[in-house]
Amino acid sequence: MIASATQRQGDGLPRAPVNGRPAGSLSPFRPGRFSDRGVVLPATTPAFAFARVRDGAQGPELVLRNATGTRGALLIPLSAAADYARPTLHDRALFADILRLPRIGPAQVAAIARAAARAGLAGRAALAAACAAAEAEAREAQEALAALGGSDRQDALRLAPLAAAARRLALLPPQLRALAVTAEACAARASGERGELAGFIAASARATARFGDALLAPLLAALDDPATAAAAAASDPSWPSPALSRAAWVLDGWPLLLRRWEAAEEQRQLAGSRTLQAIASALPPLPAELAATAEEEEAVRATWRPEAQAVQGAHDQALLERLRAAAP
Amino acid sequence: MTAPTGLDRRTLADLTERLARARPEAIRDVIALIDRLPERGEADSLIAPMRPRLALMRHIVRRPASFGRVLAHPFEDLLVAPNAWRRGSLSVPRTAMPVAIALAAEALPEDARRDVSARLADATMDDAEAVRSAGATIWPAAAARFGAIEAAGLPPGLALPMRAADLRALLGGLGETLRLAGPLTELLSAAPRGTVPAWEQVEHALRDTAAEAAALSPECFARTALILMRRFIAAGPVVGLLREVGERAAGGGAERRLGAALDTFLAELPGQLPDAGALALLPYPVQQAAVAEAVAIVERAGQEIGTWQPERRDNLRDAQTRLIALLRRRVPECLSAELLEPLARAAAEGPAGRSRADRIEELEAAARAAWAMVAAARRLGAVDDLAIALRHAAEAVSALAASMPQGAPADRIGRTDLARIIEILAGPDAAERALAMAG
Repeated sequence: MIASATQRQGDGLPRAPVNGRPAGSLSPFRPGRFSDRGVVLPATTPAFAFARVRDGAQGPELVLRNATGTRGALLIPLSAAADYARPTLHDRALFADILRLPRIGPAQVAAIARAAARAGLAGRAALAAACAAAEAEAREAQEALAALGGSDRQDALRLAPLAAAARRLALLPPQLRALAVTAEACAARASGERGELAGFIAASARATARFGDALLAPLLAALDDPATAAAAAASDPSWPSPALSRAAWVLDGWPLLLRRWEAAEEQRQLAGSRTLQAIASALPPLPAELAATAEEEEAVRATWRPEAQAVQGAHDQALLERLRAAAP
Repeated sequence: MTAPTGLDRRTLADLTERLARARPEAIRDVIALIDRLPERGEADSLIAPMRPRLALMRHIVRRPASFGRVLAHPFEDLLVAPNAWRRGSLSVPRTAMPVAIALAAEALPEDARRDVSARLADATMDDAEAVRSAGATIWPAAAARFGAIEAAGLPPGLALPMRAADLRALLGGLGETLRLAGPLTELLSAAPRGTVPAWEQVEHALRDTAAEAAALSPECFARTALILMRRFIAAGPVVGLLREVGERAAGGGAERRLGAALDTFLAELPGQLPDAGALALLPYPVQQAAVAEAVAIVERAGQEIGTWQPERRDNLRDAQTRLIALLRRRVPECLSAELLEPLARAAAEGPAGRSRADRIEELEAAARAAWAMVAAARRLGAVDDLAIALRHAAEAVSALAASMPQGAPADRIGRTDLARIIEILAGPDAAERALAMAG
């Protein structure tokens, strides 16, 4: 019953606005807001590889590329995902927990995915990686707490895990730029579709790194100085959660995609347009709401690829589980 | 032939026997040792029986780049074991290579040979730039030398691996093929062994290379066609493309010789398929890839030869029968000896046993390989027996999961691990049922 479980969101949409105004319901592949785009799902079912999940009118829904190559998205209510493809054990647990979420965001999906991995449902390697990542995060939060020692104890306890999370996120933009360099080299060597795909991947990575850095740099500067952090927290009790959450949205999905790129490099698959196509179609587009200037709008648009199609058979369960283990 | 110092025939036979059963890592070490010998002598005979496995293990055993390997690189797909070669075949028996290498080396002045050695020092055959750069010196010189030999005859004093007339013709053919070494190398680099490139990615270059070969001679077209069939048939309609190119070539000879290339391809295909013994000793993902590639080759060849002569269909049927027989031997062996027996032992030992959870990944890999081999076999025809074997294996693992006590220590194989094995063998619904029953 795929037809009744899905709806197609068409194209012919208005141009994305600039100046950071919400753009309403643009396509998930030319999103106005992060919530239109959704969060990249660390699924292990090949049919749901790099799908995104977002809040829909009737509850959470999956956003997939059309397999036919036509524009627009395939939207599937998460509760009906099993009508589209048989989810793995891991994804059954993941979907069940997401259906219980009041609101979908990168941090919430990451926590649920980690719980599924720790249950061993994505394999022993993903389990070990998830446990190790949890330990590392706890250790980093302790270190951050020690660094924030000068500020109020209550604030420091609240800020420490956020500072640690910001530092972890800040590791991504340099990796994205490194990926962009290899993708640009690949584009320079290749011609035709391969060159164009590699160029798109490079441009997406660069644009995402740029917005990630722009959000994280002031945050890290403030968090590195206990007095500044204390003053910011005193003037706004929610600080730095909104900015951190925005940075998490900007960089969402990229840890998995970076590992996917590495796996393709190791297996010497980047010579093939199919793998490049699979990676390009999985890249999360930035939303129009990020752009405050025409130049930023151009950078945002560089991450859009509304016409890409799903690449059948590009990812198998074993590969997706390896990515989970590499990016816990 | 004399054995290397300290290696008598009995030792050599013993080593050959042991290597036939060795794991890939051990083979890698032995090959590395042999590759470092200045004179390999009879140590070469240790490698000969392993060649089919080496061909499947390229990512594990990286061979150093050498003059001979670079020379053969563009026509490597033509090389076959001496006992598989028959007169009239377009393939090249490996026994012809020492003579070809010696003649090609003589064709280069001393300083050019030194330059090639310097370029290849510490490089492996994966180092495309080193291979290309040394090849740019070796291939034209070898092409000219082999061409001259075909015209003027073999130099005296050669140890002949075959009849002189056959060797002379073979060298002439290789010389012509080497005139296409540049485009062939470019094309082959787009399809490293163990991968199947997208057809649209290689189609254009395949057509150009085939057309260049046809312009040289019908014989060159036939050899090039054989290389392209062996490397690219799983990727797309390569025979159809070659027929089109052959039809357009002047004189009509190319189209006729394409038939000879197809005959050689099909006649030697069964011998090029992996055998169950060699397959069992490879890492599971390599086994999966090798079987998938072999099935894709047989499947595509079936589509390609269409209504061509019935004897070609018979050859293809031989390859298909052999492949199904291989899978009928390998799948049950993988399921019972490499998956169910270790799992049953772990269950029998209980939490105090020695079967630690770190083995589970290897067991999952075995399950995945078995499932993938059955999926590949299905494409060749009815293999209900293999599908039933998979289902029985999943049921056996379910029974183990049901009998497993609650609360196994985290470092032991537990119910979730078994559920994942069931998921691989029979899908997530069966795994969920098994977890529900066990719970």
